[in-house]
Amino acid sequence: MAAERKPALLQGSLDMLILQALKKEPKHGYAIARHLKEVSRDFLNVEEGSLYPALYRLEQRGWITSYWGTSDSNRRAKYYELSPLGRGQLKAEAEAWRRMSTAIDRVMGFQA
Amino acid sequence: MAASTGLFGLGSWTWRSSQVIDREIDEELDFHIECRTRELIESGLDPAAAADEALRLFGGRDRIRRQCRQAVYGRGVWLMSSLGLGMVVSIAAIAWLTNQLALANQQNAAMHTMLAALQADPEVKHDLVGEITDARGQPVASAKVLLIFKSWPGGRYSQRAFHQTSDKDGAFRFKELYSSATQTAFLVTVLADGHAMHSEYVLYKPNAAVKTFQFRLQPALEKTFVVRGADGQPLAQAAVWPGTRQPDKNDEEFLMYDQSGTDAGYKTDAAGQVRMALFALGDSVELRVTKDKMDETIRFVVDRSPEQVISVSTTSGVQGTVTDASGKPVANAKVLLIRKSWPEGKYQQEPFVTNTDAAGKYRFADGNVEKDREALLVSVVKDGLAFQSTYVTKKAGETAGAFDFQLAPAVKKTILLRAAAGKPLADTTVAPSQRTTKSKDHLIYAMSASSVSYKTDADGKVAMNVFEAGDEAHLLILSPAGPQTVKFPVDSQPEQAVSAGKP
Repeated sequence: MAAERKPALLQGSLDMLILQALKKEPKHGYAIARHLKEVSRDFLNVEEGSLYPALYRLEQRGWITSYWGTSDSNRRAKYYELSPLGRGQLKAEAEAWRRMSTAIDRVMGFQA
Repeated sequence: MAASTGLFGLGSWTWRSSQVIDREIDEELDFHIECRTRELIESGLDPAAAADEALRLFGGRDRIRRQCRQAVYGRGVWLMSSLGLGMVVSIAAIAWLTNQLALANQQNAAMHTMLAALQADPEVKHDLVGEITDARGQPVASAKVLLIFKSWPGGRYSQRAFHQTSDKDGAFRFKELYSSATQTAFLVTVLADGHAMHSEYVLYKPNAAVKTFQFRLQPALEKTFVVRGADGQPLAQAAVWPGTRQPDKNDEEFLMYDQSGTDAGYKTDAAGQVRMALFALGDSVELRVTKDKMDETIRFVVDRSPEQVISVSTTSGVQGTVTDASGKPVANAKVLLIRKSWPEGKYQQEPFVTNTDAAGKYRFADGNVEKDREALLVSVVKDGLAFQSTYVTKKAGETAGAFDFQLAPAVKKTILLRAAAGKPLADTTVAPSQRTTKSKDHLIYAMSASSVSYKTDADGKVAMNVFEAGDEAHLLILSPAGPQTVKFPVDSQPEQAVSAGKP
């Protein structure tokens, strides 16, 4: 029996996942990594460090903002928060993703 | 002149010294690796193996650091030497910047904002203004406007609540509220009789232009809610307010923070009734109800009837009784709850804390929600008694509990906390995090540690009567260098030296 293989993330999807992780509340990078791991039930194969260039890129685009706060462990930590611009971007990306995955499902015969 | 670490973020533009940026990247990456290392140690790996594994999971640190720098510098960061930043306000610097502005036509707007920011007075406070109209565009007067104002002065988070009513033109103005020198955020919630509750949350970077809030309210149903407690009796004279309102088949959710709750001005009468015309048909509502020490959330969907009975669930909430070994109630014990849930498939973890009453009873209104899949960790700490915890997972459609505890006596113990070199760890904050008995591990999560922390004296001593002799104890040491866990077997002696393992 073939072992379950954890797939690498599809190109461009990491940005959307980060924005989604920040939808409800600000998080620091480590909390984002844990969130992705837990919500995907440990399925998504994300190199943890790769989050950070993406976070800096998203901040440069104005989709997220950052501030230094105090973590649960009383350490200084950099928190990220979704900006109004990012909220709009997330909506657009989520909708595009939904359409794409629906189309792929249809092609693969997973969905009528 | 000392280097400034002040930040001026302007969309894709950032102005700060390269040293500050590099240091922040390093600090952030180190924080991640340390967190992962600590988690791996807690899962059973030895420290060296945990550190190696954390680095492996992180990926190539140097490469990632380089990519972070590229992400920042690649979009036109203006590098300033640490000495040069102090000269930012000098005429020469402004002239140089102005020259650069002429060469960078697409970035003119951002640079003008930045120059304005450099000359801005952080003491100047601005008004927050807004307008409220109904579905036909007519002004809504006398609406309650509830504001949660968040700001980060000096990098520290601050949150305050304000309220007022709209004037005859439907306008509102919170005077001299915010400074544009720091990041700010506003949650504005509008409650107007006959109109559906509405809210808007906006976050602004420093020096951003804050907009005028515009609310266009939709009609609401006239409703009288009959509020009943878990015993079925009317809850008279209870303060109530809408925590959230989510319109039917709509992803948008309107919020009101508990901090504004009493400002909403709704209270049940002697029959437990309260009139509210704030919701539309089919809305999913979370109504917050408080009275004396009771603090509940009632979830319901708004129906067509003018009078709707809503009740505190009899099975929801994390509740129980704490007794000692002889069965007597333990009053004023600290009860800690960690609630893990997966709303809309997304994991979240929330800490709560309360105390037992004179009868040893406690209750958390949040948690043990029938409709939710949850994991609940309840820990009970009382000086003189060995602390306990219980961890329960439950599926949606189930409830759990009661969460009762019978605590055994603890060994009376003064711990002498020392660094590896033998020097006492004075004035250090410590918290019990685990006790392993022959049959079970009892846990207190780090996010609850501040509720049950102790401080060592000048000799590194701390009285901590929460373990039994024979336990393997885990202490969480909270020091400026970062949290650290130490483990030691608890003996029956009144004083015990414990080495923190590393300086």
